[in-house]
Amino acid sequence: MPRWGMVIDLDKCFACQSCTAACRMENNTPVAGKNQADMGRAILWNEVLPFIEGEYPNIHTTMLPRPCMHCDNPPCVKVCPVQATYKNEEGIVLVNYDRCIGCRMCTVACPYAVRYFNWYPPEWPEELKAHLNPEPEVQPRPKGVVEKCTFCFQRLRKAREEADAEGRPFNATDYTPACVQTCTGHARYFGDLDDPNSLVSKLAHSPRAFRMFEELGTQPKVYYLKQG
Amino acid sequence: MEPKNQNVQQILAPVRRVSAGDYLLWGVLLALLLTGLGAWTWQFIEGLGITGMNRPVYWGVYITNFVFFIGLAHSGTFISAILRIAGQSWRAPLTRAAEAITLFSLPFGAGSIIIDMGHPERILNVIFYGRYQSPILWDVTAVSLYMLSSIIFFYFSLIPDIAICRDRLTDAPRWQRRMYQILALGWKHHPEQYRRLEKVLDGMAVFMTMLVVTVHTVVSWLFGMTVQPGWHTALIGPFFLLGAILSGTAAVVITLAILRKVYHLENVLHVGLFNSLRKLLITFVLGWLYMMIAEHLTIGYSSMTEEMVVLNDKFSGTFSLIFWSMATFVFGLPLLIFLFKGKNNIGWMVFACVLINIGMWLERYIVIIPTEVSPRMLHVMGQGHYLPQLPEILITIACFAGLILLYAVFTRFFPIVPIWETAQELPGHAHSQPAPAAAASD
Amino acid sequence: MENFPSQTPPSELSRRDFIKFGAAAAIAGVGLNALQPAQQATSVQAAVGEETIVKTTCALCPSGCGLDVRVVNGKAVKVEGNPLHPLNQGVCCLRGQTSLEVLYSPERIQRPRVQMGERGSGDWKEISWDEALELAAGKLGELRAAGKPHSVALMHGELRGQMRQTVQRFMRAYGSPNVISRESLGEGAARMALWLSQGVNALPVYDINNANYVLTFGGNLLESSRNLIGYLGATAFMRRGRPQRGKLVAVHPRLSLTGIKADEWVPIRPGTYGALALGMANVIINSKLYDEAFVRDFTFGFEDFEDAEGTLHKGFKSLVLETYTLERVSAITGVSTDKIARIAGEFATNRPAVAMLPTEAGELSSGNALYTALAVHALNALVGSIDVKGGVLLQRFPKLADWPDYTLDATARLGESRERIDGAGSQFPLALSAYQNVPERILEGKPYPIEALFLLNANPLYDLPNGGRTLEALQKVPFVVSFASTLDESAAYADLILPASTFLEVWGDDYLEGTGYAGISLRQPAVAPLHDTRNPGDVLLDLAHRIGGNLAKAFPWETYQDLIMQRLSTLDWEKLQANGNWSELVYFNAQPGSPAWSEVVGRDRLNAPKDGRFDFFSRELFALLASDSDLACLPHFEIPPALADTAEGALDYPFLLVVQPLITQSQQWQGIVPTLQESYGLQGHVKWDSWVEISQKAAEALHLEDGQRVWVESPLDRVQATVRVYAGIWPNAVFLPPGQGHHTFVRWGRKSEQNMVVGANPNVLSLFTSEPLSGLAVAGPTRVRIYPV
Repeated sequence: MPRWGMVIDLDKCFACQSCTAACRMENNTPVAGKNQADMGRAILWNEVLPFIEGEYPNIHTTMLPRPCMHCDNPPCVKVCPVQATYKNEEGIVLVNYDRCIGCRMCTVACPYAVRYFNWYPPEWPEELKAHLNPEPEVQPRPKGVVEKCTFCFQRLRKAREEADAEGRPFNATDYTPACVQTCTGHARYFGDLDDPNSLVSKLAHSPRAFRMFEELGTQPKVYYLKQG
Repeated sequence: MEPKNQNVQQILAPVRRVSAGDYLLWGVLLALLLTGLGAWTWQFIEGLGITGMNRPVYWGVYITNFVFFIGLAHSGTFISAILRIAGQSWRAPLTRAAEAITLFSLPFGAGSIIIDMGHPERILNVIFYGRYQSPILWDVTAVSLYMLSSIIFFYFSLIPDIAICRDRLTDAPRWQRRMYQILALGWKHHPEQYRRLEKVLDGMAVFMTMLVVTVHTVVSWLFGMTVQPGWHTALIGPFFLLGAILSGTAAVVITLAILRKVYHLENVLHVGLFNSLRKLLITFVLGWLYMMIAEHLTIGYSSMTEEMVVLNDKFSGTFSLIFWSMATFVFGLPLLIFLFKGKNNIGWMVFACVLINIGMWLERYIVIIPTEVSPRMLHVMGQGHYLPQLPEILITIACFAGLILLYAVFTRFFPIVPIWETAQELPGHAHSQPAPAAAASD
Repeated sequence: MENFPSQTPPSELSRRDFIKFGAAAAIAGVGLNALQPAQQATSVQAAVGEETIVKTTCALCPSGCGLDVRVVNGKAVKVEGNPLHPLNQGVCCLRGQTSLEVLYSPERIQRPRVQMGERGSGDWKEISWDEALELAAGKLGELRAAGKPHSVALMHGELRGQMRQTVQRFMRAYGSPNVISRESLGEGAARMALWLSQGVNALPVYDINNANYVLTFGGNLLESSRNLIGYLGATAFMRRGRPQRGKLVAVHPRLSLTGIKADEWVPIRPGTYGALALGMANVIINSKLYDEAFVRDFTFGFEDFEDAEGTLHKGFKSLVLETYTLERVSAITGVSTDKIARIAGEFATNRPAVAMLPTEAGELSSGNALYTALAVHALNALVGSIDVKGGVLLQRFPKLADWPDYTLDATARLGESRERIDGAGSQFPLALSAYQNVPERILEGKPYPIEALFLLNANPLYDLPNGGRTLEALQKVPFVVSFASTLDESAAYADLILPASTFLEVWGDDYLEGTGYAGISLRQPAVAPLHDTRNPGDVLLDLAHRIGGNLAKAFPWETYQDLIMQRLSTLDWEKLQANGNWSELVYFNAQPGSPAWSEVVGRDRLNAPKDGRFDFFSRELFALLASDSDLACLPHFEIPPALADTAEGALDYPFLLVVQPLITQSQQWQGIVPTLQESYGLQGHVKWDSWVEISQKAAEALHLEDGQRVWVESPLDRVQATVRVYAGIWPNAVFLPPGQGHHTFVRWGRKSEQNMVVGANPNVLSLFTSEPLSGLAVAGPTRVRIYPV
């Protein structure tokens, strides 16, 4: 059983936000619009977070592309009162939109701020609905539930189906989330962390590798490689 | 044979008549309550988007209300259960008034959680799919258990008085007499009945005391079990608990003063009671201050980046006004009043207690919001902001209106001062009540 | 509102349903395929329906990346990078990702329309293509018959592939010299610098992949450069794809994403890049760190020299050593002397090193663009980085089938000889076009009145409002036709709109640029046109046929697709279609002095010898100007008038406006792209709005707080924006994001307004004029002041 994980090389990441856009187009997160965006309610599963510190001209910046960390010890799963959010057997943390009661405990508990709440029913200008991804897993979420990055797990299903259809065994490299595929600096790597020969598990053990808030013990499966 | 209580007429007087003023008051409160209900319906249809909540401020005044009302609920249990165990017999006249606060604020506390949910119609999922790792489930369990036992505790101690109503209020409307008849469960004022009742209440008091500690600790763990700055501290449990008891006790003072004035219960609810409560409140305020200092000093000394962002925000940033008003309302002014003005002066006491309760609501707010505005991940961006919107304000008002409404109606149908517990003599054995003079002398 | 099926449990389609569904979809798909013969890529029957991948080429920025469009049941639902495309190699930037929002934009103009009322009144009547084309062709025919074909002008933005030549050919055959490119606002400076020094009329390509040291002057290399995707990939490769990590240094007044992700950010006073480059040259020459062999053998004008007539001329070396001392340059640029010295040293000793020129609008428009560009490019020659690995490359182009011959008739020949309306070649002897000069010349009626104006991918009213002068000019032209896809600022004042299809609906091609080696990328329709819109290429063909005569002869093709297929007939069409592109994949650097070298240095010189020497002293300029001043032929620094303390209004307008394109800006689309809006201002976290970045110092002085609404006012106009106190900006500079300020009639997202202007257009603040020689745009640095709303 693979344990899916991601590595993001900050030296090759140029904060272009292509992952953010690719994620939206793949996963059908709605257009927030000015009013809702001003309220901080835009849903972008894969945001790039700017950390800018210091004073002119000595400024320290970190641009952190932040998908869900798919923690091995996820705080969100622990606090969900109805088991609507769960970690599946391959380590992907998912949300059951039919069960979520919308208490938002997980959004508060997640130290990485990856979880988004549907304050309203999702909305698009009518014409734009044409480009929504038709996969069943990514149908727009109703109001009142929490949603987040799924490592594009619809792509995992499709990759497996494709391998089946072609009569070959499924290979970990068949599965690529949208953000990894589109990354302009080729900064993202994805694969099976349990496979010692996979690129991700090698990179995850590079001397440049670190994880966000390692000290919290959440055991994220998203690793970063330091810039420079 | 009824318990002998020289004040029984005075205590029953409010139950004998419902004035036009009452109807007006109830009408207004009901209107406010219905407005809140309307706002909730609006919110249910439109979505939580109509509130001011956003990302990262996922919890707003609803959760503040939840914590506040649960805190308020601690009044009754504290007075009747903890003081009962401690053998503080002076508490007898105010037990019911205090317990009624518990009973009537709990639904609004629990309700606030449901109001806050994105999918309240899925509430039963908590039972079908409950996960006991989640602090929410601890809350659900503790609060419902608390609600259940409070009802039982309250009802048990009410039975003898209902029997008295049944026997004495013969001129009440038929339905009302019928209600007394049913609720009295055929109470006969038998000495053995009183002995057993006392025993049950004593036993329950122990259980309730444990619950009271648990409930508010668990409420605080809603926050404490996350790793967000300002929340993730072991002190948050006792801190919340003490705050709850403080606001609850202050609420009792306010209630007593109003009852005393409106229902002319000056003889029963004598000034001595207020003085006893004053001493308790001084202790609690100081205890709260201790917690406050311990908490913030520990955080301040650590200089951990994300903790300091929240702390600075409270001390000198966006929330400094609320924070320092809170400190003044909960600690500064009330302590001065209690020490220098409060003695034998109900007016000052009420003023101080109103301040405390406003302050405690702000305290709940200031615990919840600043952390959410600057959660661990986003603290550098400092992008959070939160302003409660109309539905939240309406619903908050409705919760308070509902609490007062239930209280007001209750006092018109049941004696708000326990007749049997303040009786000079209970059937079967002497039940000595502290002399008003003795209480007033300290 | 609760009708959405849930994510979990995942697909509940049973195997049987799956097969049934797939079969139905396959039948439905036959019709679809018949419609679009181009889609012969792999097609998969998925649970969701008939699925195809169409390979096409993006047109949202000048990069021209290959795209794989996922089409399900006739709808484009996802865009990925084409892994077989050498430029983007499977990746796709956010603009490409959001191209579906462009395709399905509710703002699109759905069929041709004609203005019934006064221009700008918004009183439109939709008409058929036949009527619309008849109207346009009638007008064109009329003017041509009247012997005034030159009074027709066409202003265009970025044109891709064969479209450039199609437009040129159309106008030439019609008889007008007035094809005016928007290039003068941006990349024109780089092109001109290359021509005047290196002798090639081309845009530079920088070989970041192999460079050890990349110094980017201005220019938002990693955000908005011309070959963005190529450069992003190359920078990643320079850092982590090879054993030795190269260094990237960004010189800019504002800490852009490029500065943030660079190894070093060098803040500099706006408008003084040229001085810094010359100061660096001073250090490099002084320390003898330059490539002596290259400079001696393959450059001209480094040392002082005597011309044929025996006049002594100053060379680059003595100019730089005398004039651009470290102290002076430091005083001009605000960069400390030790930093200039260190960077110069690093640049010269970590070869191959390359100094990059910005190609974006606004980056060099301080009135000294030409000499700044020359100064920066001179650095490349100093370290011998001309056409070497890790240096400046020259884009090669593939050999395509010839355009069919036709003869220019007398009218066309006469028209060709007329002076251009924008003054390129006359008022501005060096200019190829001077976009920003058109409105003024129209108003002046010089050299002749313009009777008809075509706007193709151009929106002058937005680009250079010039305090209403451009609108006035537009109103003065009797007949304005726009090819706009959305009702942009200029289209709103047109008589006729011939709405262009989006690039996802049309045939086309694109030259592979930014890689150096030659290549072609094919554009084919991913979906059938959504609306009654057409490819401007087809429209021009149709107009040519309707006007007839030698114009019809010049365009013997029925459709633009035929034109493309004929032009690309030298290539393997099958392969081109299957891969979406064809390229040589290898760049051969020219050895200095070899025959290939003459292609790289001196190829396009007109008046200077094609001797394979890089000109520090521009002999082209010398021949053209015949001036006594050596300085005019040498890279030098001119202080922009706005920078001088004595500048008019320096006290009233204390701040310098810095403009810098963003990656989140949809350059080639004038409409709203919601997802881009939702990621618009990354550093300041601003969405759907404009913000003004001011320094901490300025904020303190003006008592402004982060998040406050302010007016940013120049002598010309003012705009509103939200204050962002930003540590990464030159203390007396302010930054406004470009690309905002468009009006929209669509309600984007809940509770948003239906009729609003998103952000503010910073162009309204600047007065656009032209540099006298080059005709390059001058827009500043605009002086502004800021005060609370």
